[in-house]
Amino acid sequence: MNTFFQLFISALLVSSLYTLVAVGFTMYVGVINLANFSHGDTCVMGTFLLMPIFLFATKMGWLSAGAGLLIPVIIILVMLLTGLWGAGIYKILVKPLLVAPRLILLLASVAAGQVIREAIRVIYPNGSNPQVFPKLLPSGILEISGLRFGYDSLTIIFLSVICIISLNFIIKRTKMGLAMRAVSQNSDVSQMMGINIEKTIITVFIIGSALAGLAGILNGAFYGITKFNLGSNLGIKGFSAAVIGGLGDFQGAIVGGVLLGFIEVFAAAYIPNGSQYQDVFSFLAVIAFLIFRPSGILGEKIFEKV
Amino acid sequence: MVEKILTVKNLTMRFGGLTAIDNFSWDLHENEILGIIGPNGAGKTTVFNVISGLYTPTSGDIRFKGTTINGYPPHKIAKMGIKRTFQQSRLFDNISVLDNVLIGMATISENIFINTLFRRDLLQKELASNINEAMQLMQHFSQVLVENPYRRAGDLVPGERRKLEICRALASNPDILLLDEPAAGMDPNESSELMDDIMRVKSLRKGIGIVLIEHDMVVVQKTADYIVVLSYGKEIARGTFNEVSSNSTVQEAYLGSELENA
Amino acid sequence: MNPIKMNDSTTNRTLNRIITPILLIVVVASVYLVVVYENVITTIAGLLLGVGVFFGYSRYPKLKESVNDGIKKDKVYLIITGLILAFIIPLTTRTQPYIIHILIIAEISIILALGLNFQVGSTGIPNLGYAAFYGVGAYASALLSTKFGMSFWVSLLAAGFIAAFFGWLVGLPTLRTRSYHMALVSIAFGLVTYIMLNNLVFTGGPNGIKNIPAPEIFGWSLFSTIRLFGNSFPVQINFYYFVLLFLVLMLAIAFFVYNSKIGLFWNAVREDEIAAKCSGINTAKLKLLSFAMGAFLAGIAGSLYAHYIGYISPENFNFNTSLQVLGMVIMGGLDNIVGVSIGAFILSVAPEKFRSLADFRMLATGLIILLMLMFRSSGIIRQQIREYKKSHFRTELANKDEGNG
Repeated sequence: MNTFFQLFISALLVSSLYTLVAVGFTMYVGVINLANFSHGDTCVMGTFLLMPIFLFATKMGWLSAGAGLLIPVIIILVMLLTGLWGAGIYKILVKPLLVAPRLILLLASVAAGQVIREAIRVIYPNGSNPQVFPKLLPSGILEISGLRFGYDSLTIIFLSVICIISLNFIIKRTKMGLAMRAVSQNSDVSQMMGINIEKTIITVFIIGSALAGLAGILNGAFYGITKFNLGSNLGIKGFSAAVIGGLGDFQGAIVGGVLLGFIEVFAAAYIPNGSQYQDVFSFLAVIAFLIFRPSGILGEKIFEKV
Repeated sequence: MVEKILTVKNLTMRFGGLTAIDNFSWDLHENEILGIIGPNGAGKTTVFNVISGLYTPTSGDIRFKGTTINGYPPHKIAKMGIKRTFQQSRLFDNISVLDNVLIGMATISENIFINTLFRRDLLQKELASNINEAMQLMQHFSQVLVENPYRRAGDLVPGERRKLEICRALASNPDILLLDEPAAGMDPNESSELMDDIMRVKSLRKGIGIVLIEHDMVVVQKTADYIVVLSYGKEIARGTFNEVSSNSTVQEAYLGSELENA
Repeated sequence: MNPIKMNDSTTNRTLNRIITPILLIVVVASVYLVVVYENVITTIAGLLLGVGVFFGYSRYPKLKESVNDGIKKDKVYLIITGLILAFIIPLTTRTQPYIIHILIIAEISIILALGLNFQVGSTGIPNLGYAAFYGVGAYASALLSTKFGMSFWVSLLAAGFIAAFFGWLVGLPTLRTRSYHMALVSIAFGLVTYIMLNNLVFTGGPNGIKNIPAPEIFGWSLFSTIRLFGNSFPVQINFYYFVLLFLVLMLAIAFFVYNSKIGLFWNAVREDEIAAKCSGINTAKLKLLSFAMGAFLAGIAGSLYAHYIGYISPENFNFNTSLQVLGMVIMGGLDNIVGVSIGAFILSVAPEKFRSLADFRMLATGLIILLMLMFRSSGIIRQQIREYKKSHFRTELANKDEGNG
């Protein structure tokens, strides 16, 4: 029972990280039908942006003055930076290529990911090797009737849930959210109805990339380590989660993220030698979905527009 | 006795809760031009998508020369002899005009893959006759297409695109041609040229049956032998143009949609 | 009027006559400068020469026209000269085995790139895990010949077909889905293969497979030194000619397929899948064929690589390798066989020549793909319109033309 609960908590932890990444993927597909394969590398960029800022803050002695306040500020600052990066990716890379065949745009996003990855490796001091990531999360263990919860896992789960709920609020209740949904449905019509498509798409890129930055930071903070190429794995898992849930569907990204997290953690725990093949299980799950239900769990059956 | 080549019986197509086509039946005979008309959103294009195999109908029966073809994959249906065009012409843009037509022909070629490697002579012979046939076909429709067969199909103007699409469909010598709003976005001059083209198809390919979805009433009036009117997926009238146009239900349906559009 | 415009302008006639030899000389000169001399400056000079010619070609329409005409006119002559050059060049560098090694790697890369071009270029399906097929081929061949004692020829063919089977398998889930699903499946397959190769016992794990025997031709090992007229040739030269045979064969297959109806149908699938289906093309079959054939070439390349180097490990077949091959195809020109070969040649030789900058290799690969896609997505040589022999257009049509006009 006890192990089961530990596993449950770590599955939730992995799930929330995947969900944060998947949300961005699914929103990009929703508004411009683009799978942005540099998304995972944006996550890792977040960690590499945070480290120098954190180092600087430590050197200046600000951290000892008020760590509890400063750490959230730094995290939000990095999220803003990755959000800006997302807007830049849209402006510089995606927008000029929107008229080209989709294959070109897709390959370009893959190449952009590679450039981010390798640029980090080359530019960051000793970038080829794993970097120690600052412990940003509260440490310690909460014990309730024999069950042990790490404060760090709880913080991550809590933060992700907050983000998802507020994003859900934005999409469902605000004018911007309405615009996003309209653009996802039909961009021609929404343009006629006076929606500023460009602004909407940029907002989506900012939000998606900011969440990716957060996911990267939380991932780094939990494992205490980051590396230039961690993003490809995180990105593919996030995209897989979005596909499992139903690409273009916001709730689908959450369902997919949770499902993928649970599959991965439990398969690794209960299948002999499972931890070696952890990634294999999640990819098999995705491939099974693509064969039997390509539109994902929540996605509707796709009728090709003719 | 003119033979029926296509029979559509009690065709129904639902997408989730939406019924796009409801219990729709008609026949197409040899040498006949059947017009399907109706206001926007009546489900006309869906009828084509079902016949050409892109959608599997929820229920009903489509018979082509006695064989039930619903549920067949699109390529099989096309190979059997039902070819179509699209509302917004879908050409293979980055290859040449000539190649577009050759693709239409090559789909019915009997040469198998091994010949690609070992029987170059057979292929060359077939290619030469295909090219010749393709050029002749295009010659009937447009001088522009023939003058430079190596032009990218994507560089053609809309009128020529439509002609090329018809040529591509005709290239495999189909028994049935489905034309999806060929006059969409054309000025009166162009649509009169189109009417000539449609009649030309009829004279070029003896016995071909044509189903025409059209908004342009002049085109329908001049070309269609028989007309079925569709509104919200249901048939509301059928007959010759004069019969249909004097039908009060039809007038209402069109008027209603005009008002909605306004 | 003849439907095909005759190009009989007399102005460029002199230029036309000498353009192909000039072109050949330039190409050979730049290849020599880049590959043969152990000197960074000559390498850069050679690259600049190539780039200069390329810019001149794309800037001046007249030059472009005469080059195109020249190449078209002297096609057979060019192919023969090319083959002779491919035969002679390594003989001139027989004292430098390393140069020949670079050329062998270039040959294998071209085979690889030709295979990927079937999918990405001709059919328009992304494949981001191509190195996995290369790896499957290399491992299959290596295992068959080291553990089961199979001869090289059996291993080679088996490698091709096993890789093709995997290509077909990976293609299956994507038949009903879209291009980004394919991208995901291919990346996933690439990663799974990499993980498997690293963790399975019989593949040797991270250590890979050592001591893969060299190919034997009627009992004569390619690792024996040839002596002729008192000169001894490095063993690399045996491999060079051996791989060259395969390269020529693969190039021939690629050209045949491109000019056959399969190539045409692949293009149709790439341009508009729905229209292709409704024209009577079995798009599922053609997509699978494109996967299987691409993977087959990768498998052959993998086998050649394994038996040449004699040692393989999972690191040879990771995501970076996939991206490198993708870079070759995109840089050379999607769906252009000559272009793809040039791209593969440049991107396989350049890293060897700039070894001191090895750390930047993957960054450069990413940048090249990105910049090419953004500013010249057609690659070095644009995808060409298929032209048919003039004799295929019968004269009666031309007569009819005059009658009508």
